[in-house]
Amino acid sequence: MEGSGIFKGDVVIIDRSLKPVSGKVVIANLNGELLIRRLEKINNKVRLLAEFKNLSLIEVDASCCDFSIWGMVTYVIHVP
Amino acid sequence: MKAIVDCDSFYCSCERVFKPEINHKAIVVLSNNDGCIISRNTEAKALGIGMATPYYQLRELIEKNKVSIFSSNYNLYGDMSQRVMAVLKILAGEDKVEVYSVDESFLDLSHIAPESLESFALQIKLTIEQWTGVPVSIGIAATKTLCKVANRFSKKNGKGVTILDSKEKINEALENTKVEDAWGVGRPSAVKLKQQNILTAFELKNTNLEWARKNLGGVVGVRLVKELNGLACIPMKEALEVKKMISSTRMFGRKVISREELREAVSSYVARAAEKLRRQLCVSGSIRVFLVTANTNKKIYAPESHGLEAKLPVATSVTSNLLEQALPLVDRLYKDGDVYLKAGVILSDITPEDTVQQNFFTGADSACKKELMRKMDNINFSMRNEVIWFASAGFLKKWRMRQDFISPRYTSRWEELKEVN
Repeated sequence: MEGSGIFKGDVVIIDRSLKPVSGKVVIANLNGELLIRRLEKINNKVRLLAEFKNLSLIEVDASCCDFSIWGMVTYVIHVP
Repeated sequence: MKAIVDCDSFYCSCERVFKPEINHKAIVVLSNNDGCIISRNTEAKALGIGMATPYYQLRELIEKNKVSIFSSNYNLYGDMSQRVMAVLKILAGEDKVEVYSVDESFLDLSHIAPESLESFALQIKLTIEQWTGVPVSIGIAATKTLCKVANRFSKKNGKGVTILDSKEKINEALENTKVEDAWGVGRPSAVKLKQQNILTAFELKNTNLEWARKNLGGVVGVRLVKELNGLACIPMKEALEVKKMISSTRMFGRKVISREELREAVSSYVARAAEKLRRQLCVSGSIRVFLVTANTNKKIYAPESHGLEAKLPVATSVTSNLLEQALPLVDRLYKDGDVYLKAGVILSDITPEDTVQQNFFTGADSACKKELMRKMDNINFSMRNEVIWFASAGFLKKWRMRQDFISPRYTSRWEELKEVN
């Protein structure tokens, strides 16, 4: 998530009470794995953007995946 | 109306929040010392894993079915419980919530219009699940005992909310509840009821009050029958119930033979009991220490308990003052060569701290010591763990319980936060 200013080893604050919004950074549960990604919802299509050159985006197929939003990322504590 | 909000398989659910890969898989949590199963989710129940079954009896089944297994992580469960209860208090109002146990609360819903009960309950359920990750079931009825009956159906009906608001619904629910599953029916009562051919909660509801008084523990039995009839007899309690006796006791993780280790274990139990005492703003006037030995004849399991009691010169809640009395008792009880399995401490003679009888020779607890205790409790509470303790409780704590499958303290330690990619 370097593209969003979140680096390996950083601490993020999660607010589970917020409603997931397209365009925000979230913690997503995809088939039992927790991922930090930017959420993109366009016309009922859900995509998870890694914003890191080595990782490709994930198109979520809700019909075959176990998918949910675990929480919204609100702050980052960066380790310099 | 009242409600009970009950977390589903609470300990398992806490573990699952931070490990979504075990969603829809069987999970069990073991008791202290990894002894017995104390929490299992629906999937584990379906495998035939019974409550309180010793772990060693199920090891094969657990391995074969790849059941996820956890040692009890009270640090995590305590913190998650606080979160659930905090959300509940936000939604229902601070003064409407009676925290009944780590995973259940009663709610006073007398201020909610009957037609809004269901939507209100669903909102509570959804919000708790979204904010904390812990699923809950809700039972709503006129009395606490009927709430408990309703809640059993909430766990099964898929919706998670059951409201018993008409005579027909109540009777149907009671007919489908075995008498031993009713709240407040202990094993001895269940036996007596079955002898009378009272098999369902509905039949219990229609029992003669005099019979209940004679056979089901006097007032308690009468109250039970009345509650099933919709007459509220068990009021909402204040959150902080003052206990008349406080005990702290544990099995050791392994057999203990040295006096030093016994002193350490007892010191740590005294500290824990004293903390509970201070939490209810009380002082204690006497302390009892007991040690349980394995019978030296190894062929039979017949543990023996030996105890001694000491009166305190002045009732106190200061750990060091209690230790001063407790440790000599350990020395007096200790026998060289005995093998110890368990120790415990019981505080009694408990009174509110503002009514301490002064002693002519020694004053009450000094303000300085009290302040020290307050600081220590605050730090230990904020860490959800004992991070500051008296040196007499030792440093190695080898006698401490086994926790071979413990999960990280995700919510209370920086170095144990959940990692994601």
